[in-house]
Amino acid sequence: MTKTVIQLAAGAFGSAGYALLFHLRRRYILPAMLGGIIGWGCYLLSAYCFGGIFLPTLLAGFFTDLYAEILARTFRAPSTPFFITSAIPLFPGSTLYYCMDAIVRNDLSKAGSYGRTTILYALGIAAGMAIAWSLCDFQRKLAGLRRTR
Amino acid sequence: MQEREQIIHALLDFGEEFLISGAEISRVEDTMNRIGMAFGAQKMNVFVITSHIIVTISWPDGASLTETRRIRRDTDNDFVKLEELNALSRRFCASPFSIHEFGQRLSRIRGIHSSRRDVLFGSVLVAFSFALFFGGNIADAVAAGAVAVFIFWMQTYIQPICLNTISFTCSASFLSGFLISLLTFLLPFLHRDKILIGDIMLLVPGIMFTNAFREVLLGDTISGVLRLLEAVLLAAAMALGIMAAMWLAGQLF
Repeated sequence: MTKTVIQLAAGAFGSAGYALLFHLRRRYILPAMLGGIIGWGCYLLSAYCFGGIFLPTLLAGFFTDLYAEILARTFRAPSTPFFITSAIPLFPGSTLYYCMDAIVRNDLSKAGSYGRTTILYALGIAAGMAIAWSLCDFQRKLAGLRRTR
Repeated sequence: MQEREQIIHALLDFGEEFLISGAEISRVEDTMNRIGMAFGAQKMNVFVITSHIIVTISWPDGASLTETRRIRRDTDNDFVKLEELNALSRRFCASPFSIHEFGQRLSRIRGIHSSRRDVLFGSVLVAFSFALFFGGNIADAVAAGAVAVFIFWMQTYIQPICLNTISFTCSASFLSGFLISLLTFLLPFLHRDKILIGDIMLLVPGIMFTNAFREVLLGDTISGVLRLLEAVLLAAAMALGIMAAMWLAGQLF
């Protein structure tokens, strides 16, 4: 439990760090931190419920993008900044490192396993984001059609 | 005629700045189309990839003007600039103003930059937080934060004199990897893996990967593939640098 709380808090501050690096407006930093918590929280919850890597990351990517779209509409701003800062804790930095470490130690079977995990994380985030993004775009176009009628 | 040339120049300046600030290709194309139409064009043809912009404006009197712009700068995500440029286009399309005023507002936005203090603080916060996030203790997080200051120093002073981003990423990864290995050799209570992972989060091209997938999804396959290739090369350069540092440290210590 303590580990989860530390991870959620550290993820939120990591998102805030990226928000500063990419010059996000100060008033969006708190929403970006909340996005980091939502993204990692979704991942932990779905990893607990379903196990595995791909599905939890997909769901986390999906809900993070949905959250970014909501923020973008609320603040009438592009959604990319909100998505990127919120999705940072999902990036597979640790498995990428352990993959490199295994290559250096000449443990190729472990390197392959960590490499596959890293790719699964990346694909999961991309797929989840893609689904949410397509749904939001579909909704936007439907709303546009309704307005022109 | 002169005014039309000013318009196409301003449009290209806008597109370049928008692209560099982190906007997606389709957003850049769409926004440039809208601004062109608001300037009075009859038809707009805009083609954007990550390194190039081509614009053809057709005017109601039958004349048309084409200009290209080679983009040499790397994407430098600046979300305040991105939002301001987006707001400028919205305002202009809602009620167009003169090209002179458009140019003035654009150059004001081009002058926006994040402060060096914020970037430094952001780098330290990212490395510190992710060292904790991936299971490190407070000492590991502090060490990761200290190495982040070194990475910030390299980004400020070494990156401008490097051949390109790939060679910089490789050298920065090597030097920070070696520094962390040395640090953990001198202070054995530190965990090398946790510190390195915290600092990797500063160098990993995760955003580029995400944007590449976004571009492909939006139908901009060429730009998506270009970004993806760039991201893979950067990740490989980073891995090469870190692996070389770990190997060298293994031989020395």
